[in-house]
Amino acid sequence: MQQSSPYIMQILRTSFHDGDGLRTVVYFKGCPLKCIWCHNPEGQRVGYDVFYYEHKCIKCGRCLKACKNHTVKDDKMVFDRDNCTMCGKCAKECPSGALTLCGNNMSPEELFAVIKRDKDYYDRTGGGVTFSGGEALLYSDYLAHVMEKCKLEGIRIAVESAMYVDKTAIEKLLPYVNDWMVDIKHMDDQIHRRLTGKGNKRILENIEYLAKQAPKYGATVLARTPLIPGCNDDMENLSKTAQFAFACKTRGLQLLKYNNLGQVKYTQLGGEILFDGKPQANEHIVSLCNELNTNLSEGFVFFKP
Amino acid sequence: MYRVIKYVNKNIYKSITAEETAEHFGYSKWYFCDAFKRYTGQTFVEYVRTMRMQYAAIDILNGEKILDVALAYGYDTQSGFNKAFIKQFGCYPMEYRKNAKEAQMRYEERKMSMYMLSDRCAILRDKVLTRDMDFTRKIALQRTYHYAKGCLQEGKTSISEIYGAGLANVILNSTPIITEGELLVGYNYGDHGYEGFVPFSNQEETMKIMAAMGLNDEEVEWFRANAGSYLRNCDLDTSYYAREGKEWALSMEVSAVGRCVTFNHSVIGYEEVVKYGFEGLLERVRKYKEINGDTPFYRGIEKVCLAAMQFGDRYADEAERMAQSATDESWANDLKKVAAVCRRVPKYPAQTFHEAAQSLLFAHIFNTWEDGINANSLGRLDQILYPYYKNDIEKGILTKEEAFELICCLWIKLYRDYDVQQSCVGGIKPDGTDAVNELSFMMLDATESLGFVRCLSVRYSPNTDRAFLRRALEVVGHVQKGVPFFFNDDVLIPALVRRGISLEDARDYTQIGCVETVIPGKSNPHAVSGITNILKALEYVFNHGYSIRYPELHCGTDFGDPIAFDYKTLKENVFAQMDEMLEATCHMLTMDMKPPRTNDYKPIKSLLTQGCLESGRDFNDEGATYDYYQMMLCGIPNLADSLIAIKKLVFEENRYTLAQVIDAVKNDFPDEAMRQDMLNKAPKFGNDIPEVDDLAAEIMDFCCDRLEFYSEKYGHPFHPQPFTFLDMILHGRNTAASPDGRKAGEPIAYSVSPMQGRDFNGFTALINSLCALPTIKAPGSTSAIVEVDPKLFCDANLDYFVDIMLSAAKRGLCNVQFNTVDADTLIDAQKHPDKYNNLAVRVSGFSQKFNLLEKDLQNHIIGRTKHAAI
Repeated sequence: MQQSSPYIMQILRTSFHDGDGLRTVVYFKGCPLKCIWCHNPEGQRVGYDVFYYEHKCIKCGRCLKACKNHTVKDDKMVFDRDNCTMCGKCAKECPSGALTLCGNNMSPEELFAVIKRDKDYYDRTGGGVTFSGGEALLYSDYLAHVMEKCKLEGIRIAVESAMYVDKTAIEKLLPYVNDWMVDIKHMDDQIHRRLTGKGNKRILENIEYLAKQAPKYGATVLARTPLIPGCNDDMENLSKTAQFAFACKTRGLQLLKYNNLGQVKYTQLGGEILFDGKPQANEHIVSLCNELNTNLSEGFVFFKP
Repeated sequence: MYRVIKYVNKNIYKSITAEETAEHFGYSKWYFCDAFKRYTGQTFVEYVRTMRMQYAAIDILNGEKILDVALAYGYDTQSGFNKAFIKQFGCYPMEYRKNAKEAQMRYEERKMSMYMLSDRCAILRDKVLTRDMDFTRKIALQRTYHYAKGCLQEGKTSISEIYGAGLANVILNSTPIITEGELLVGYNYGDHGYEGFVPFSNQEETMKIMAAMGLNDEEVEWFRANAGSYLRNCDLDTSYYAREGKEWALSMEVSAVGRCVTFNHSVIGYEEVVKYGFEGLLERVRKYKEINGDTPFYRGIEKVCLAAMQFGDRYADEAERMAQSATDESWANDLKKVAAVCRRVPKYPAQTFHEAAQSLLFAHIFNTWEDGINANSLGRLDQILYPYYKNDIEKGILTKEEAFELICCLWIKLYRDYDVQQSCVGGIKPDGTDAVNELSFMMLDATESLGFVRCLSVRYSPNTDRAFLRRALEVVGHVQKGVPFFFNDDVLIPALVRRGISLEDARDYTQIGCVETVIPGKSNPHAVSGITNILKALEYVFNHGYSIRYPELHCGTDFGDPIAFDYKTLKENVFAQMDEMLEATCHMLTMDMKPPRTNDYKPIKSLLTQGCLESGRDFNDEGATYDYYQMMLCGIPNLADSLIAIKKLVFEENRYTLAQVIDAVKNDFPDEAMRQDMLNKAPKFGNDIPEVDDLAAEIMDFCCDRLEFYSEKYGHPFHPQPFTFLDMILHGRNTAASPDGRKAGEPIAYSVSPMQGRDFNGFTALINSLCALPTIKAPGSTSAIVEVDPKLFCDANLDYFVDIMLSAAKRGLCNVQFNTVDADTLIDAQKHPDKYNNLAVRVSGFSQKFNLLEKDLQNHIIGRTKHAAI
C-alpha cells in the first residue's frame, strides 16, 4: 500500500514527559481510531485542519476576501466549515495567527534536521525523540527513513501508538525503536468498538506480537490505559487489561488520568464535544493500582500523578 | 515579626487566628495582617496552613496514623486533611509515606548539607526587611557632608589630594553605628532610597544638602568654585557632540549612541586589605613614592590609608562602650568579640575568618564612599575568604555553623546598604584547577536561607562539579528571584585572552554590578561606558540619515533613496550605518578620556588596583594594568528580526513593497494587520531557526570586529558587551517602529534575549539560538534572561537543567539569568497575549502555549499556578 506523506501536527521540543530524559515529541496527524474522549482531535484527520482562535482575531477582514466560507455576523467572523476544503488560504492571509493551519509536510530530512538540533541534550539526559500522534505508525515507511537517520546519529527512539495498524508497520520499525508505549483502551471488543469506532482484536494481537519481538531488539514495551470515567475504569476491565499486559510480559501498565482539557480544541476546530467526564482523584487511581497489583507483581501497574 | 513567627510555630497545634495573635502582641488586626503578609509573603491563614502541613508531613514520616495526624492538626475528616495535604505536597499522605524512606533520606541529606538560619540572623533579617535599620536623614547625609568638608579643609593643593582628603574625612568622622545582634559592623549610611548617596550627579541638590548639613554660604560657594570638576554632571550631559558635520546627541534620551557612568565602579583588590591591612598598604605606597617621586597622587592615597588605619579603632571603642552598658550578657560578649576584631582590622592583616570578613566589608564601604556608586562589587568571595575559613576550621577556632552565620551577616549587610553589588562563587582558580569549595556552597545556602541577596553570580563550565551546578539551579527555583546568574568560563576566559588579558588573570574574572566582566584588583573596566543602539541604524537608513522619532536630528548618513534598495544593498547600508554609530561611540569615549576628565581621581581604587601605584597614575588616568571600555550593544535581536522580516515579506514573498514598510515604520504601523504580518509571518530570533539566528550572529560578529578595529584606531581596548542594562526601555522609547512588528516607543529586546513573546519553540531552542551568537568575541559578556515556569525547577527536573546548562556551556552560551514566571505574569499574559507568546504551559497530557488557550482554561492554569506557589 502506498503511504501518503505525513502531516505533522506539532513538534514539541524540551518535553520532560513522554519517555525518559529530555525529548522532542513529534505528533503526526491521522488516526484510525476515533476515541470519543480524544484530547488531540486535530490528530484524527489525515490532512490539514484549520484552527480558529477567536481571541487572537483582529477583525481585519482578510479571510473574507480570501475565501467565501468566511463571513461576518454580529461583528464576529463566521466560518462555514462544511464547505471548507482545508486549502489554507485563509490561514495564509490571516496576519495574527487567529486562523492557523494545522499540519505540516516535511521531508524526512527536514524532520530529522529538527530532531538533531537537540542531540546534545538527549545525550546528556538519556532522552531522545518520541513519535506520537495521531497514529505515527500510519507512516512507517517515512518513519523508517527518519529512524534510520536517528539511529546512525545515536538518538534514542520511542514510539507512542494505539496499535491499530498493519503488523508490517511494526515489523518494519522494530529494529529501530528503543521504547514502545502502547495503549489498551478496553479489553471488550464490542465496547472498544463503541468507544473508538474500531474493535480491539487487531490491537491486542499486535501488542502480543510486539511484546514477543521487542526483547530480541533490546526494546521495551510499556502498556498504558487512559482512565475514561464510566467507560473503561471499572475494576473488571482494568483487571483484564492488567492481566493481559502482564501475560504479554510488558514492562508494566501505566494508568493515565483522564483530563477534559483538550475539549477547547473541539471548539477551535469547529466541532462538537463528544464526551465529558470528571477526572478521577489521584488517590483513587493509586488505590486502583494497589488493588490490581495484589494479583500481579508489586509496582507492575503504576500511576504518576 | 520574628517573634510572631516563633509564637505561631509554637502554637501550631492549636487553632490560632490572626485576631488572637495580633491581640497577643498588641497590634490591631489589620495592621498585623498587613505586616504579616509583607514579611512572609503569605497571609496569616496561608502561613498557618502551610506550616501545619509541614509539621504534619513530618509526623506522617514518623509513622503516625494519618487519621490521628489529621485530627491533631484540627481537621475533622481525613478527606479534608487529604485535600489540604495534596494542595501543598501534590500527593496523598499515603503516597507521601510510601516514599517515606526516600523522602527521609532526602530530608536528612538536606539537613546535613544546609545550615539553619540562626536566631540572630533571623532577627537581623527581620530588621532589614521591615526597614528597622533605616537612619535619620542627618545620618544618611553624613557621607556627602564629610566629603565636602574634607575637600574644603584641604584647600587648594592638588585635585588628587583634595579627593584624598575628602574620603579620609568621611572615614575619620562618620558616626560608628552598631545594631544589636550584628557580628559584622559598618554602614555606608545610604538608605534604601539612596538619599544623599549619589549626590555628585546633581550639583544643585548637593549644594542644598551641604547647606542643610551646616556649611555656610561662603563655604558652599568655595566648594562650588574649587571642586567643581568633581561635581560635574557627568550622567546628565545633554550637550551635543558634533562629529564630521553630524550631531550625535550625547544624551541617550534622543540618541542611538551614548555613554553611561564610565569613570567609577569596579571590583578592586579587597583581598589586599584583608592580607596586608592598611598599615601594610601604606608601606607599599611609601615604597613607590620613593621610587617614583613625591607626587600629589601618592599624597592623596596616603591620606586615605592613614584615615583607614584608625577606622577599626573607632568601631572597637564604640563596641566596648556598648558592651559596658549592655544588659544582655551574650550580646555583651558578642560586642567584645566585635571590638577585638575591629582592633585589628582593617589596620593589620586579618588572622581569622571573622577578621577577614570584617576587613573586606570595611574596604568595601570605603570604596562605595569614594564614588557613591551602588554597583561596586565584591568579587570572588568564596576565593578570598576560603584560606581564613580553612585555617580556622583546622585550628578548631571556628565551627561551620559560625562561618555560615558570618556569611549570613555579610549578606544582610549587603542587602541593607547596597543595590546591585555582585558577589561571585565557583569557577576556576588562576592555575586552572576547580575553585569550588565549601564556602561556595555555603554562600548559596545563605542565599536560600535568607531568601534574598541582591546579586550573586555563579561561574561554571562544562567541567564544573554537577553537584555545585545543581545546587545553584536549585537556589534559582527556591528563591525565585532570578539569582544566581550563570556565567560560562569556557566563553569568557578565551574571550578575555583574545583581547590581551593574560590567561591567569582571565581565569580570575568576576562581575561588577549586573553582568560586566572585570579582572578583580587589576582592571579599570569602565563598566557600562559606551552604549550603541544598533537598531537605530535601520531608522537612519530609512530616513536619509535623520532620526524618525526626532526629525530635526541629523545623525546618520544618507545612503540614497531606500525605496530603490534590494535586500543586499539595504543590508550593506544598515551595516555601514551601524559601523558609523559604533565609531561615534568610540570617538566620544576617546574625547572623554582627555583632560580635564582624568581629573576625576579615585585614591582608594588606585590603591587597590594593580598598576596604579607602580606607575604613579590614577585609576582613572589609565593606571590600571588592564584599562578597557565596555561597549554595550543594544537591539541585536530586533535588528535581526527586522531584516529577516523585510527579506521574507518584501523580497521573497512580495507581500509588501519596501516603500510600504518604510511608510509603516515612519507612521508607526497605521495598518495593524500589516504589523501582525511582520510579527507572525517571518522567523524570529530565539527559536533555533538558523536563518535568523545566523543573521543575529552576523550582526553581533560585525559589531565586535569593528570594535576591535576601533580599539586599534583609537588606542583604547573597547570590549563588546551585548547587554542593554535597563536601557531597553529608554532606547525603545526613542526608537521609531521597527519592521519586526515593534511599535514606536515600545522597549527593545533585553540584551540578546529574544524580544518578549517571540520565542515559542521551547527552552532548548532558545538556548541553541543564544549559543549561535559569537559570544567568544564579547569579553564584556553576552547576557540573556530566560523565562522559565517555576514548576519546571522542581527537584524532578533539576538534573535536566543541569544537563542543558552543561551542554550549552560547551556550545558557547555566555550568561543566563532565569526568570521564573508566577501567576501574576500569567494574569498579565491574559491581558496582553501577544507579549507572552513564549509562555507555554503544560495543560495536561499535552503542552500548549498559554495565549492559545481559551480564557477559562487560562484561568484554570492561573489558579493552578497560584496553587503551586502556596
